[in-house]
Amino acid sequence: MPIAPLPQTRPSLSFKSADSGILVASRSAMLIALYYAVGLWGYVFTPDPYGIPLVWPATGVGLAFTYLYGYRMLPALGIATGLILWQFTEDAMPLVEATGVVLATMAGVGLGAWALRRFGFSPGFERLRDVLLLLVVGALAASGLAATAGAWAMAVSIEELGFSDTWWLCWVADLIGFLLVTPALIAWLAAGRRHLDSGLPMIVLLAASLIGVSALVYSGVLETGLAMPLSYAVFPLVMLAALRCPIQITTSLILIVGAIALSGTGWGLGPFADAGLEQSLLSLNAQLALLVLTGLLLAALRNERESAEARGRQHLDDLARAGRLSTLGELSASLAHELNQPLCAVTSYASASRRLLDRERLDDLRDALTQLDSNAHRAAETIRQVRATAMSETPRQVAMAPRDLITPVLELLDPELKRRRVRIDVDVARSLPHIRVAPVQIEQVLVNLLRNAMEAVETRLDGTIRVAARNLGTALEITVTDNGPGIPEERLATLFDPFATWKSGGIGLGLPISRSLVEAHGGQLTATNLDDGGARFRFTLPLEVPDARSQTPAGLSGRR
Amino acid sequence: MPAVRHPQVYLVDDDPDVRSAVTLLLKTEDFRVSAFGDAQALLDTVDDKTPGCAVLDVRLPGMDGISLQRELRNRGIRMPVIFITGHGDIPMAVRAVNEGALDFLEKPFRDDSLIEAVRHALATDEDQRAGAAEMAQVEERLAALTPRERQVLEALLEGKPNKLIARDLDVSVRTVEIHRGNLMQKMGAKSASHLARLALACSEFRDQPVSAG
Repeated sequence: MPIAPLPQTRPSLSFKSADSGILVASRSAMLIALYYAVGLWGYVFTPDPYGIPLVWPATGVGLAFTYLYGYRMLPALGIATGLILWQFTEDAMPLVEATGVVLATMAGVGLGAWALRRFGFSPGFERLRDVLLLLVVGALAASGLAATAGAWAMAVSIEELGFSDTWWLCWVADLIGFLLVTPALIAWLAAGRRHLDSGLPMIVLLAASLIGVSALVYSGVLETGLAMPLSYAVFPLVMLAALRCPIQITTSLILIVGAIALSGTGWGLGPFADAGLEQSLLSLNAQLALLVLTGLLLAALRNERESAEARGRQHLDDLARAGRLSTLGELSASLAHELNQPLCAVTSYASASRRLLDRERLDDLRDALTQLDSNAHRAAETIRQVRATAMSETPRQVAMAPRDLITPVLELLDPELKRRRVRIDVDVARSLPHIRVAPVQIEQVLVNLLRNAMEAVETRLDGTIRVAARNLGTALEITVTDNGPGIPEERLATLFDPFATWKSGGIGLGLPISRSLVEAHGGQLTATNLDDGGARFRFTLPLEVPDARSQTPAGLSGRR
Repeated sequence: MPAVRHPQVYLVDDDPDVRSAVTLLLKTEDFRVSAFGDAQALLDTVDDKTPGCAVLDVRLPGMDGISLQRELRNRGIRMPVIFITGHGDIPMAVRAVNEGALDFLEKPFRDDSLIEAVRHALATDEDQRAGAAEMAQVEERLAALTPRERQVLEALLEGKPNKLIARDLDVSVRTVEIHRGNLMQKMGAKSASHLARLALACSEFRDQPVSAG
């Protein structure tokens, strides 16, 4: 199911943002609480004896908040880092070094947020470069600097640990924490609940499967020989999520899988737990990093493809409109010239005749009037020719089932209906008798009516369009009904006049053309307002076999 | 001496019905009209001495009306041009007027509009011709000056007093006064300022800086 990309809004990094103090304070409090909570969780994965956490999502939390809400989050980040340090290293770390660690974390996060902003990262992960940018920034700026700070802190507080031994562990821990937490946080905080109203069964099914598989693999009930291959079952599920679900859901599912896997392994359960905490978490981290990359890259690829398709459709629409306008423009220009020439002769002869009459030059007057007459006929002939040309272009009519006529139109407009969040009810029975139509023309009529209806209901939350077809016995009736505001009463009379548009950007030819197309088929197109609001357009089309209410004979239905 | 030509309306329109209808209309107002079906026919007929005005359709076979106007100007034919068109789009009208058209009428036009425009065009042409004739006369007189008188005239136009001119030309003040009197007479100038006006009307002196009244 296609899902529109998340909005492109990019947060401002400025210290002087328009956000109120209360908003900044509450976001800061949220950052501290979340940072502290994931920090506590990180300390679950601390192999003896040195207390180096093997998963450290806190830096990623800091980066997500600072990227989204600006540098004003940095003080809160400093406080949170200080809290964690104070809690877990206690007296072991001198104040000066502790301050250094806090400042290094803030610098890394600030630099990361700056880089995301500077290089145009978009929180919807709409392009591959967004994913790659987040990865590079996470690996270099955020995790790189934070890991340096962390390793340094360890080296200062625990004498047996060298800086270079611990730096690698800290970097991996920061990076995997970052990969799991940051995409989900950014996706949720930037997009909120947008685009979540569709595909709920799919989301529930995927979530249940992923949680089920992960719980089974990392609860320790299975043999390693079975659990290890099963741990890869999350890949196809995450790929499916990336292709079908909004980015918030995909990233959250990955986070849940990661949390279950890390927690299980941290407690010594599951297929990765056998090699000792440090080794096992590193192996698991590698698998999780691949999982995150798979999910994010696929989601970005899907978004890129969908926006390319949307651009393509828009382009086609523009072309069609431009084509219609230019044909109309050319036609009216040449028609004007063809008519203005004889009219100019007519008026000139008329004025000359009046003067000749004044001077009683009757012979000249007679000649002038003869010329005037023949030029008036010339103008009339031009009009006759234009009409004849227009009539000769009637395309071939074929017999077809109403459903086969309507379904392709609805498919054509499906992306537009989705984008405008319009619900469509279709009541076109398969058993309706065949009609005789020029499909291209009646499709044009349906597109016009549906587009108008979409525009009418666009601003409503419960915008609904109903397309129904009914056998009247002598003809087929098709109605397009919307629950919009209806047609303004004063417009009803001139609704089908050319150029009577009241929509901005319309050229006012959709309805008159639709009416003449329906009439060329021997049908009628009418519009009414419903009593309870909304408008209904109704048109009739001739049945292939009149009075087909009494079933189409089998021999006829095969004749196409 | 060629016969004095009467001012004429030169109509160019490729539509024979329009051509004969407009010709008839203008003739009922006692204008002399020559009508042509294309641009070349007009260019073969008129030169820079032809008095009159042109009424041109914008869209013509071969050279269109606006190009025809440009070609007339290139040949030094300054007769006023009125455009008539059955297309009547504004950019075209703006282009025509920017290139010096006197008027732009949309077909079908009101008879009074065309007649008024033609009358105005012929009056404009007459003024232009009168101005041109006067200028030709002044140029003829300028050519009749001796080199010395010409030097004095140029110095006068620069605003130099007689004394200064005498020193520059290394002659006496009295001689300068004589030259000055002669050239005023030859140019038919009634005063110093009249002389300046006459001389400056000529292309030769048009760019001369003037410092004296």
